[in-house]
Amino acid sequence: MANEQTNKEKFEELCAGYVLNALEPEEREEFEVLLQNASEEEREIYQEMRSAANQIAFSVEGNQAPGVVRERILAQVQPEENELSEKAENEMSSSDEDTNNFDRGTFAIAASFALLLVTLSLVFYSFNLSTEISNQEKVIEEQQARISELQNDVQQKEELLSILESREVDLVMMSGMEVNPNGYGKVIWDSESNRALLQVSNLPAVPSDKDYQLWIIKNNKPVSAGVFAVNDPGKDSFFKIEEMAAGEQAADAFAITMEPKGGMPQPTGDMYLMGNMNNN
Amino acid sequence: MIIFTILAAIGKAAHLGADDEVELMKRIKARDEEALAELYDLYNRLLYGMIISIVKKREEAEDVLQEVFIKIWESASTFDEERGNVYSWLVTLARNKAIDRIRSKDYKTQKKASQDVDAPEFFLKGDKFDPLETTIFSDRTELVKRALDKIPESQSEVLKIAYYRGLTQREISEQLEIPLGTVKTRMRQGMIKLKDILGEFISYNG
Repeated sequence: MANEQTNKEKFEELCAGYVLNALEPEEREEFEVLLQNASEEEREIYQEMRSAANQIAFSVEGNQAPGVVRERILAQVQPEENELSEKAENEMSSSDEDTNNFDRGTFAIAASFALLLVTLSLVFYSFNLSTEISNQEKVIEEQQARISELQNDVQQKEELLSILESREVDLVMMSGMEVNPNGYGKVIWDSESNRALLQVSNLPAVPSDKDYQLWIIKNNKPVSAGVFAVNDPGKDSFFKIEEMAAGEQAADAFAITMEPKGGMPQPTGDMYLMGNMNNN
Repeated sequence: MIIFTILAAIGKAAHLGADDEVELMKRIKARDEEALAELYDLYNRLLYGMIISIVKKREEAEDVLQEVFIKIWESASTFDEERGNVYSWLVTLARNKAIDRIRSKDYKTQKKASQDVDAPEFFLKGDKFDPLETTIFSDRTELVKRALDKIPESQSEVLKIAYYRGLTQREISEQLEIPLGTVKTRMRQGMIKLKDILGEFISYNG
């Protein structure tokens, strides 16, 4: 009971200070917590004390304020002025809005342009990329063609060299004839396997409807040993002749003539090179 | 008690009721400056007198009074008639403004903010005692003066100092050079007596 009394007194004490706004901040907080959990009776005390505290305002004599204060207050809230200031504010805010709109519009246009630029750049870039890619593809194709060309060359050279590897070969030197005195050539002839390696130099390129034809001459009878074409005198200088129809007999001589394309059974054209086995 | 009853009866007949004040506030919320003028006419004597007794100087009291009514105009929308009556709101607002004024001048080094008049009030569904409902100001002034006179001076003194000078209990104890516990006890006893006296009076009027 004594404790209850103390609690009630404590509440009243804080409450009196609270309604007069005379508590220190921590006490104020303390009382607000108390008030949250206050009993019905305590709440009534609070309300009554608060009302009573408000009455203290009446403990002084009322005093009519000078009329000028009323005028100043009303002047501050006058509708004309309000309207004017509101109007001004509206104008300001609307001009602000205009500015904002303008800014937004400008921004939108700028953004559109920026987007357009970026898009165009990307298109251009991707176009460049695809051009670059197709260029690179072409280069790759060229490189691949070059590679297969070189592979062919290597294969050809290897084949040519394989003739040199044979156990016995005959070497026939050929000299230029009247139509092309500067020409010369060699036949490396593997009579065992009827293969020959032909090397020619300084022979003119053949017309497209012509071929050179190699002849093996035995007993003054020419036998075709195959045709070849010199399209590029600087490059086409080695030829492999296989399945030579030379037979087992040793040849007397080799000759090269220019014949219609595909070769002829018997020589018909000019002789370009000629070499005798006897020369060896 | 009889005089209270008579005064209350006069007041009731002569003045606006609480509902009318709430109506005024609604019109002020609706930006009716005429309503603000009416509220001013109704309250300026009370508030100005109270503000003068706090700030002491007339010029400053005029400034504070103006601030109070501009604040009413500006923050009328925050006034919740469900939670507190107009009188309490105005008086608290005016007192806080006045005390802020003297504190900003005289007590710059001390920190004691006044309670925020806009803050939600605890459990208040309208003060039980509404002055304008029951009496006119001059009568109410008489009433409150008499009530305070009935309280021992040692107790009414701390109430007045706290109310009109915005001092905390600790500051009052330093000013009066009495123990803090004594200030607390006096304030408690004084407030209990004041509420009882005023409550008894009001209850006569239902």
